[in-house]
Amino acid sequence: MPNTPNFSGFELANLRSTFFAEARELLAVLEAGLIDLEQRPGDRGVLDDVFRAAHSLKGGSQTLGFVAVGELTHALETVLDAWRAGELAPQSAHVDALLSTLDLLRASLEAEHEGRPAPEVASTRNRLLGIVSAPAPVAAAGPSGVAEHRGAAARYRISFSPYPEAAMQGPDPLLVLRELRTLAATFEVQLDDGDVPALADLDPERIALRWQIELVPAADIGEAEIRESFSFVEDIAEIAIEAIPARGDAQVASGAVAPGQPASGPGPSASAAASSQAAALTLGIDSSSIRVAIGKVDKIVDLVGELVIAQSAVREHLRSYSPEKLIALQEAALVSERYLRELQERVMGIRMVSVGTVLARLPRMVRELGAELGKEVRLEIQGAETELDKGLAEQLGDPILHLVRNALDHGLESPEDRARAGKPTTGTLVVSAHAHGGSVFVEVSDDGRGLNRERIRAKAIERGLVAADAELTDQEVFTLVCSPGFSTAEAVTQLSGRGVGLDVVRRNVQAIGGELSVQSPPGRGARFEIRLPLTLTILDGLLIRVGSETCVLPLTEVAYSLRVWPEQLPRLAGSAEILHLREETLPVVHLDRVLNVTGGEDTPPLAVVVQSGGFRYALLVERLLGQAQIVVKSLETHFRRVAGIMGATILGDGRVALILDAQSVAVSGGVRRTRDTNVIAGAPEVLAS
Amino acid sequence: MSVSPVRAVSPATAVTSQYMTFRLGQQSYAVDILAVQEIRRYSAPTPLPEVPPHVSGLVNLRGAVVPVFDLRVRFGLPDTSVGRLTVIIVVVIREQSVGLVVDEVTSVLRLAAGGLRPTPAFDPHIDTSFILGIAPRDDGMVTILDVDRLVAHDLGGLP
Repeated sequence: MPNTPNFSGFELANLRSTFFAEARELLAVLEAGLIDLEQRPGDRGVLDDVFRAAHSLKGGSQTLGFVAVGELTHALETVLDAWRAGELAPQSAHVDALLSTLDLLRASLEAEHEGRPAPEVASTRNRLLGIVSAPAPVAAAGPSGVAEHRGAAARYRISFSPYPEAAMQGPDPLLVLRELRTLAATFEVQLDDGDVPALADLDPERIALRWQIELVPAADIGEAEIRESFSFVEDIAEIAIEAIPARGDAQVASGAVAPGQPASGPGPSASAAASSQAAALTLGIDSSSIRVAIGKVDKIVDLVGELVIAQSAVREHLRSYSPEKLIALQEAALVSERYLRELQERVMGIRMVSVGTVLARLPRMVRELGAELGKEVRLEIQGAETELDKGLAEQLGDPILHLVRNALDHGLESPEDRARAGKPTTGTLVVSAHAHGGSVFVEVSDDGRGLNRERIRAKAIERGLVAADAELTDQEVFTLVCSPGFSTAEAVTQLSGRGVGLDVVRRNVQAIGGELSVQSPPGRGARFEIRLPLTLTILDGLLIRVGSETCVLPLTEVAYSLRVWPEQLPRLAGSAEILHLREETLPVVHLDRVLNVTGGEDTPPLAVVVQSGGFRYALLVERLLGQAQIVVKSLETHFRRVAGIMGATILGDGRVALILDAQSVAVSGGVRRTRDTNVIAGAPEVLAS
Repeated sequence: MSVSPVRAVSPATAVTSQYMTFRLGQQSYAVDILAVQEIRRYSAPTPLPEVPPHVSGLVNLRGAVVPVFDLRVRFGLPDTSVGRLTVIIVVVIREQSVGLVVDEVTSVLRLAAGGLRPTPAFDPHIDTSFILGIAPRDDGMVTILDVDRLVAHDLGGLP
């Protein structure tokens, strides 16, 4: 076993925390890669990535003396190496074993992180090594592989030849011999010192010794354990292990378990099942820290430097001010402002992470849930590179997880049902993300049985959620499944096949300022869409005067604005107003009425044409005050959610201004979502194909 | 508090609570002084749509957006005009700042333990859950309010 190098306490703590952050990422790479390999076993690039990740993990854990993690990753690497060498082809049973190893790794890392004793790893490790040492086809997979070997060899002949430079790089080879002896019933070592030079030529830092070992393993010890003894020197030595079958000892039948199987700790399958369950329950990402490319930080440092210089120029101009210097002063202030703005953007950029970090563990979860539910499913992830605020990304994991579970559990049919319905037996689950305007959209869609409009409607009427004669759009009907009244009702679940916990999803999404919507074209599955603000912190806004108040409309939602005359606003039957333009006719919303501000003109002279998430309407306002970058303050944290308002900001004069939520203003103003503008990137086309 | 040695606590602080008293119309009220963060001059809050009338809106408190409740409206007083003495008392409830509009801040009231009388039993339809108790004084009495209960209902998401 390697000794932990002598680091100071501070260095060690630093190394450890870096390692844990890295390990988390490496595990994610491994997991995604393994699942990828199962689909495309021949992909050399993926295999190399996976191998590299395993190797880095092994290196790091050994450096820090995490023995259990080191042993496990070594076993993992051994299997991957066999794949790389073409000795073994990746197959589902192996992938299962490797995935459960990742769970155990994760648990071991957590244990090390928290200073708890690491879980027992020997049985999992042996199982992995068994895959390699018994390269027969399917039958060799799983625990039986180890058993086979245990019965097969009575003695091992081992040659151990450290490279000359090994003394500089690795642990003391003698440690290996000592450990080996603990595994042996009988143990003979021969030292080959033929290469040792004459004393005058001797370099004490080069190893010139070789060992030949013959051992009869102790009870319960197999080749895997013996190989394992060399795990920390395999990079610095030539190692050959030869099994010598005992005379008259018949091969143990494949699948049989040798009587002497180690019985320490819970069995591999039990612990793997338990931990995979735990793994499936969370998509969480590390929330306490953020990893930033050094280039980004350098750029920020540079900008701060520029800003300091620009600021000192301003101060200099002010110190020796005279009227003719006004222009120079203004210029200096402008430069300063430009740097400040760029700095702000870059600092905000640090907080942005890709949606992929949240989705990294989905393939694994879908694979396992699908198997558990007996459904064939293909997961497509699109737009994983879409960026959003880290704080939001963290909050997004649970809702996505819930929607995916829901789609697998209730949306997708069993292969038999799908075949009967004339669909391909493998269902498709698409999780896609894209940014549009000031929002990020994340969609979870499936090509399953979809939602039953009539039953939902009937149930909603029965539960008193809507009036019996209410005219409902599809959108409104499907949104009903997200109502709390639907969530707990067992009968509804059976009836419509949907509605489990969707109210919780909706609440979680709303808690981070987002919206959840549902669509279900008949026979084409269901599509759940989460709309989130890109970032909660800063946005470009259009300042609007309403009565005596100022409010802000995010610029990304504004198409254009124009002057209107009362004769352009004929009233439809009832009180609904519309605005006739040359190209289009738009529903009208009076901002002062939505905000309940009195004292405005009856027909405000300006219309802002708003385009937001399937809504397009004319917002009538009194005055436009211009554009500004504003810092968004969440209303929820300070007060509570208010219809029509996405937040508040503080203006230059110190007053609080409300930031409008274009979509909920539309809803308050009685505008309905238009059908044609509501088609968003890809998903329905994917489902249809 | 509970871990301090008993001797270190002077008898006066051990048994006395302090309340900040203020006026709403003609009536005196008070809140626990430990909940009060600051008192600030009245400035007109930015109104919010679709909220109860006693929610005046939002004010800027050194960069933080703070909701303001008009206690005079909350208690149904006819006069809600803003005068020279009208102030906003900023109290902290569940780590959140909240402004309360009152007609005038009057003084600090010290009450010995047991100086607080229970709220008289009213008709059960009258909500008195936000009243901690009544403190009698020479010139009448002071109603001690439980700020937490008073505004918790308006702070969405809180139980």
